[in-house]
Amino acid sequence: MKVIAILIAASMLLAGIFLALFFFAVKKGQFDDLESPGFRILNESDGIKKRKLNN
Amino acid sequence: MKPTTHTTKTERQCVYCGVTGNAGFVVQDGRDYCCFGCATLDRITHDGLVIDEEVPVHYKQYDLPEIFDSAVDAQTEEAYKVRFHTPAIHCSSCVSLLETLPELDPRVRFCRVNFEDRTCEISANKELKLSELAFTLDRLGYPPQFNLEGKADDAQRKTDRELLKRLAVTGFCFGNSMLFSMPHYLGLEVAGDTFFTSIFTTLNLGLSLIVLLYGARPYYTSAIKALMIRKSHINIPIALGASAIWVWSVYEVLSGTGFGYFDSLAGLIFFLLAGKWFQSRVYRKVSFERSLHDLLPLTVRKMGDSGEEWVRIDALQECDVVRILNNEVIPVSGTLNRGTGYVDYSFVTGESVPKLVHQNEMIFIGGRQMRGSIDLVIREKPDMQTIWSAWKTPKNSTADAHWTHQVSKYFTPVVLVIAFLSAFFWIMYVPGKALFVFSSVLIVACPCALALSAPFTYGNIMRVLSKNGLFLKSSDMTSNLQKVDHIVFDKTGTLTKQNAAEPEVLLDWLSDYERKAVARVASMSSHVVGQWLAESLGEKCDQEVDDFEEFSGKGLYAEVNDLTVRLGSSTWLQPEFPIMGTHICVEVDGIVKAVYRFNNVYRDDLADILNELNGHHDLSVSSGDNPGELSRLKSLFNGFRHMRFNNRPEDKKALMNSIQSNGQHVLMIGDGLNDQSALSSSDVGIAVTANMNGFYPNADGVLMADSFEKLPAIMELAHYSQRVLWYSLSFSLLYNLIGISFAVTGQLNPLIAAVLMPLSSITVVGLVTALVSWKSKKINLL
Repeated sequence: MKVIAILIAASMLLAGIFLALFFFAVKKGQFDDLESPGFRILNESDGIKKRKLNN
Repeated sequence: MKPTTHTTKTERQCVYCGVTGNAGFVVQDGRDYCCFGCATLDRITHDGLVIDEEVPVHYKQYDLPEIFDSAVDAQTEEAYKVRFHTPAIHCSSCVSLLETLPELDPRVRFCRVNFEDRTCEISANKELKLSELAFTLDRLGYPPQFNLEGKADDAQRKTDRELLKRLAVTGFCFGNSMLFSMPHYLGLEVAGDTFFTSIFTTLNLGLSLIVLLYGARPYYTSAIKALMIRKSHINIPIALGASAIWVWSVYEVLSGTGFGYFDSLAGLIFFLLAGKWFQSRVYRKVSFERSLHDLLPLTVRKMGDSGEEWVRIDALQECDVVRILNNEVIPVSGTLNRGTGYVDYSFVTGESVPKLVHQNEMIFIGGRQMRGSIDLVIREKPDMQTIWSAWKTPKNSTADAHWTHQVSKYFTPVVLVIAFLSAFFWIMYVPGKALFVFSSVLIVACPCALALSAPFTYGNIMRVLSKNGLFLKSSDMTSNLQKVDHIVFDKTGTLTKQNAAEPEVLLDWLSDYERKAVARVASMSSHVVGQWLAESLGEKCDQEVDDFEEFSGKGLYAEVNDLTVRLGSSTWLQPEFPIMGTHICVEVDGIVKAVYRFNNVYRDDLADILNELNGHHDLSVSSGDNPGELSRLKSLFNGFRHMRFNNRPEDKKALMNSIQSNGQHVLMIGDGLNDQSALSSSDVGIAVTANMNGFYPNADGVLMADSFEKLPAIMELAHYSQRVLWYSLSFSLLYNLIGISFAVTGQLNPLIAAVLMPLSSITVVGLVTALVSWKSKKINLL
């Protein structure tokens, strides 16, 4: 049963790491705008120039 | 070159995207495009951000060094970075178009859109002037707004991030704390195992300290601040209640009588923070405050000895000469010195017909010069404060008096009194139970449900309204809107369609020959009514016009072939009957042969909309125009309480005040700047606009012109908010009453109280959201 103590410590540590990662993400501004990245993924990587048919 | 719409029937293919068809095709430089967007895109892919017309003055000012420095976020020798607010961004295509700017023009280095904030961050080489960049965005359909005061956005962003961090930490503690309390809930016999009991309680205690010191800190700071200035604040019971749970839990743990309620404490703070976060997201989406800079140019062209130079308005001196080009807004009052003053004051007075100004007459700030360039002589040193205050008077929000605030204000002291009284009572009889009762009362009676019901109701309603084209500045305005029982409309641009006039023939004895000649003369008129006449007369003769002369304020005289034609107002030509409204008389060879009146075109279904609104509101009209439309408006809808014409801004304001002094709450719906003072003196002022580019410092909200027909439904929803509030209020009061009575009698465990409390908040939030959505669906707003 005492192994639970270690498990608790491990789980706390893991969760703590995730929390730190989340802090990092917030600081980098990843949560400032939740909508435009979703639109950006739809853009063709080579932009709109390629869409031209002639000229 | 501007694309033109094409009408032939053959099948075509869009040069840009390859779509085939015919409908809506435009031609640009001889090639076909399926839409204006493709044409624009192709032009800029091909030519880069070429600007083929002069950049308007209100963008040009941003090239001045001192303004440039305050407008950009950062700059180096060869590049600068700037953040624009571009409210026109509304879909993924907008994002994709703006973010490909660097590919279209190498001078743009980087562009990133923040969709939620509707901002656009651009860095560009200095060869691309800031004014050109701004104008290009404008031409693309995203008129940018500069943020000269700047750093307010950053402060908002910082508090948002701070809240998110608190929420995450509290969530982390809540989850873990719950996990550690699980064995206890499940009745597993860890209590007998002192090793685990002590580990779990210690961990819980540690987590709860993080929650209190980090997560709940805003509640404590605002509660302490409120106490210091001896004011009641809704956060006081929250802070006190949380402390009580914590103290009680620590006591239980130390005395070995129990396990504490640390998980409930963390849950409580978590749910409170989550509500706050949700609220801030709702608010962020609908903020749209604009500054006066966007309308009035800060700088003007001063005519010096060495030609034109740009100066700031506040640096102008008496007797300076200022040049205003065609179509510019007049930034400063002065007398006309050169050129033809033909000024559209529709922003200021509401009169849609421009006004002719003679030499040495005053031209006032806020008008728009319509014919060529003019020079003004400054007669009085302009003072920015007067310019700004002309349109900016502070608005009295009635939100402070809102009854939920009132209830909350008394709620806190009442709960505190009950808590202390019952604690005192229990100390006298069963001292061991006193703290137990004290914290139970405080926690179960937390006014959160009460406090949440108003912001969530209004927040939800605001969300529904903004989906339907009504953008309110603050949720307090929803509560003002809900009280409205008198609606005052401006006529031009509000009840009527913007920029359209319908000809009405009052008299027409013109022969075919005369008609063509008159059409020819009218088409030469520089007056807008003359142009309207030419349009409604149709075909023109191709004869030369001799002896053409225009008399300002009267009309014009011309000779065509053997005919002498005079066009003009009834005061000049004296027809045999009086004419009201915007009109023009046609006199051929000394006889008035035709009279045309140009009526406003009212919105479709206007009568239905007004009839529907009339059921619950008094309706009035207050217009800056002349009363020519009175009878037509009456035939459309005959229930107006007041019908005022020739109203100046002061008259409109006075009308607001007189309606308010009758104890009614008034909603003003208007457009343009002439309604500004009325918008601010009404309880709720809403500006109607065809695009979001207008300037409305005093409006409490902006209504998109095509959403006007939704007004009855919008008002119904606003009034419904009252009922939603009553439901949620009675629910939370009932809940509090039952909770407190159990708590006071010592029958309520603080644990259950702490679980009940966030539960009640969630119930209220859910109830409110469900009710608002249900009602909105019922009246077709969702």
